[in-house]
Amino acid sequence: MTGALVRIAAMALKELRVVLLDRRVLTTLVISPIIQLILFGFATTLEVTNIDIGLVNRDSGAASERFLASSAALRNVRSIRPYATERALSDAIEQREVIAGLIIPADLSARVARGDRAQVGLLLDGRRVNAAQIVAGYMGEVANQTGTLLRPEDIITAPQVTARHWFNPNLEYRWFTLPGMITLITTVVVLSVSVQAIAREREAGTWDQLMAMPMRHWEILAGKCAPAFTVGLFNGGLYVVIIPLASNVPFNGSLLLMLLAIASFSLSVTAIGLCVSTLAQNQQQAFLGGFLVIVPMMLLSGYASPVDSMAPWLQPISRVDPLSHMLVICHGLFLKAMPAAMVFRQIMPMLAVAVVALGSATLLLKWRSE
Amino acid sequence: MAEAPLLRLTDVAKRFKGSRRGAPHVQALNGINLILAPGRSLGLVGPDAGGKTTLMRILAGLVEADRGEVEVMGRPVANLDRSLVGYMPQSGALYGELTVRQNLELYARLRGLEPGDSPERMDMLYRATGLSPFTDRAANRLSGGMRQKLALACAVVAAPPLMLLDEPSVGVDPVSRREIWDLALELAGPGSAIVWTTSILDDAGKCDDVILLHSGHILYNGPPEGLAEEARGHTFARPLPPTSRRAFLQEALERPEVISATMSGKSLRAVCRSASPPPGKGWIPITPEAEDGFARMLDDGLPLAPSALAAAFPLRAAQPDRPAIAALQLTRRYGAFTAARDITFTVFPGEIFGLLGPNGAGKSTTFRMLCGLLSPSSGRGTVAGRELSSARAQAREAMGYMPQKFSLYGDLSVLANLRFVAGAYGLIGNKARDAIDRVVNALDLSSFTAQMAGLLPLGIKQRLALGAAVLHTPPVLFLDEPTSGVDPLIRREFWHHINAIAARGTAVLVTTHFMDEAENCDRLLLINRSEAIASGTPDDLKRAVIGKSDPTLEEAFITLIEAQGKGESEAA
Repeated sequence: MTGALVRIAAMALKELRVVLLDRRVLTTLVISPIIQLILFGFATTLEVTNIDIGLVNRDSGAASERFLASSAALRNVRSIRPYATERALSDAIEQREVIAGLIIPADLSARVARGDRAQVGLLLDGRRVNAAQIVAGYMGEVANQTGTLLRPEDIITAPQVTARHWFNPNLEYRWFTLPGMITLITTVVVLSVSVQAIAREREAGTWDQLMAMPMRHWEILAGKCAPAFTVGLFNGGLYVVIIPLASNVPFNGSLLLMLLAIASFSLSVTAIGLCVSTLAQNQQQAFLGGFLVIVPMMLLSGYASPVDSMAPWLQPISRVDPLSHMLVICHGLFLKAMPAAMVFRQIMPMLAVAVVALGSATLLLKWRSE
Repeated sequence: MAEAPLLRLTDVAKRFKGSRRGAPHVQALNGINLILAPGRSLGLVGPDAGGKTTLMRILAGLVEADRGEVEVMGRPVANLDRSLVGYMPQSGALYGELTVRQNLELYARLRGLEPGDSPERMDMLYRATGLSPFTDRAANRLSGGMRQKLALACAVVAAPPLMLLDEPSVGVDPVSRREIWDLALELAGPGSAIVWTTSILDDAGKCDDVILLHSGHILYNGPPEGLAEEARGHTFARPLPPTSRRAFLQEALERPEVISATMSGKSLRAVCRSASPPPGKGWIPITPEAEDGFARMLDDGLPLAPSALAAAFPLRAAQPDRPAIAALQLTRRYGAFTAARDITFTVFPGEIFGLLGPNGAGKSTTFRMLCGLLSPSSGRGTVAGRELSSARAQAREAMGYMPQKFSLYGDLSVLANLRFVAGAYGLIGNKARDAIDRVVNALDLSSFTAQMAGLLPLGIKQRLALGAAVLHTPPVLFLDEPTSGVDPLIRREFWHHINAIAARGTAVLVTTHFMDEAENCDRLLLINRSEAIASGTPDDLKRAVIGKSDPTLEEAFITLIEAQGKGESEAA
């Protein structure tokens, strides 16, 4: 057994030297996460701001004035641009000059004054589904408010909903994206290192020498986990420190639990990368193989769309994805103090994936060595 | 001379920056003058890192000289029309995934030759290289000899007036080596000149002129016969007893009077520092050969010390009943093709056993099965008494392996490589440190320890690979063409170590293309067309040559291979 430990240590040390002493690799591994942190922090946003709305106004009465004033006062509306005809408005939407068009009929003020049911037309650019939905929400809200102001006597006292957002009181999108980013970027970095592990030896022609040494297949793989695992731990840890310092996202959970989670997560992603690597003949194939697994892993993680909204047959598959568990832990430990027992409930499946993936990598390696 | 020379170099010098910051500059070339006329061939020889490749790259216009004038076809090399030069870089420049035809046609088009427009030239290339049956085979699936021929054909596809061939015959068997040389002559146009670098002096002997480069200087420039003259009066031979031949060789090599010594059939040849024979009886003066002149000119004046590498090996008693390596009807099939058929032999402790055979004959397949790199389709093998099928890892612990191609980590330093190998064989702490120190000192690697292994000259790389293979003093040593591409002096040094290691009771299995190295083996197995066609001592093999008193092993090699070919065509 000590022999195995010596061999694994030798392999791990060698791998760390090869990967981490390469100045270009090291630069990519340190600089790129920082750039990505900035990009993720400022470029990915779920809010819709800087809205431009087109307008065809056929009513100059009080109702339309009041309605437009409220619309223009919305924080996220940048401009309201008048158009002469519906035709001109629809062209503007088509050209992406505006995302939505308001059509105010000539009888709006008159209907309001009469106490009739008044209507405003809203055209939306369906190509931008998400943003259009949000704009529709904003405009509905404006129409309600205007109605209440103009005809307060008509409002029936309906039950009022008072919303309180737990864990993210102001619903700031960065509180969601930044902790989640730890998962995504760590995956990219760890996978890009680990998929090269075996492929690099095959391409460089060092594989035969290695196979003539008394190293068992599992010892080779165990040693080869070292660089990707270290890189993942370093990257993840770096983010946990930087995010609360550089933004107003709080870190409420236990740092120790977080590091434990990052370690288990890095190990599971490393193991998946090694599996891919055993199948690749050269580094180019390894890179493409990594790409083949990384996209589904991200889509199934629940970062882009909640797992609960996925097709029912996809949901069990997403549970095998270590990213889905890591995302729960990241959000849980940043935004609330997730208790240890719950964290472990997410860590266990990740470790299980690591064990299964390393086992399959060993078998694949044995099979491919012939 | 009516015609202008193809090449004229005047006082050319080139130096490179040291490999690390603060490291001294490397003077790769200094004061090089040479003239090459059309239709002539020039052999460039010299020790590794002597400047051969740098000179080739300057001639091809790939590297700019720091000083001096380089004229190619009457013009400065900077204005060279590249289509007039066919440059074959070391180890070729083939696209492994492309087929033979795709490679050749690609190079033809790159040189402005549309393959469809000149079918005669293309046909001639396929015919001359013998590659016509393999046009649709991927280049990386060709045997070593064929790959070199294809690379050569690609370099000279447009029949350029100047052919620059960097080590075209490295790692190639004697038969293919002759063929490659003939091929180069055949592909050359009537006025084409050839520059050919080689570490094999036999090849250089076929050229019109030879230049010996050492540390960037020209030590010799003249006809190949003149190289041998440098050793005239310094070469002697004496008969060898039939047993313990190697002990005599070792004894001669370690004498201060002797520069180099080799076994040749029944006699021991020695090149001496002075014009008198070494002490002892029976020495008679003999005619020198090119290699002797080479050795004398490059002599560093230091006698070979007893191998410190071998001294660390425990003395293992010979056990005639327990073979260190056993191959029992080893067979490997790939689909319908059988790469090795029923290969059986045994190697005992203290023996050096040589596997010979042309490229692609099944020698490497056999070798790889015994190293545990390839599972046999049938038959079995043992190493140090351990079954390869069931105890592969244990068998690997007992063996040291030096692959044909340098297979350590190019992006790690020499020391980091040795540390990794030590760990891989379970050596830690003081044991590892001692083993590494011993290998570094014994192989003179101390000035290279901090250098990246990938940037070392070939000879130093080979030394490192040998060091890595013997770090754990294994009872069994596998050496796959250990001296391929290294110069004669390093080959002498290598065999000095190998002989001494075998003398400690280590079994050595070696493949080689050098017949003088095969002379060093106790027993040989000749493999051709996937079958063992002859085995026995070097003298046993020579008996196959009928009607010659003291045939060389190379003659025996060719006779035996041709005999098999004849036998098969008669049977068919």
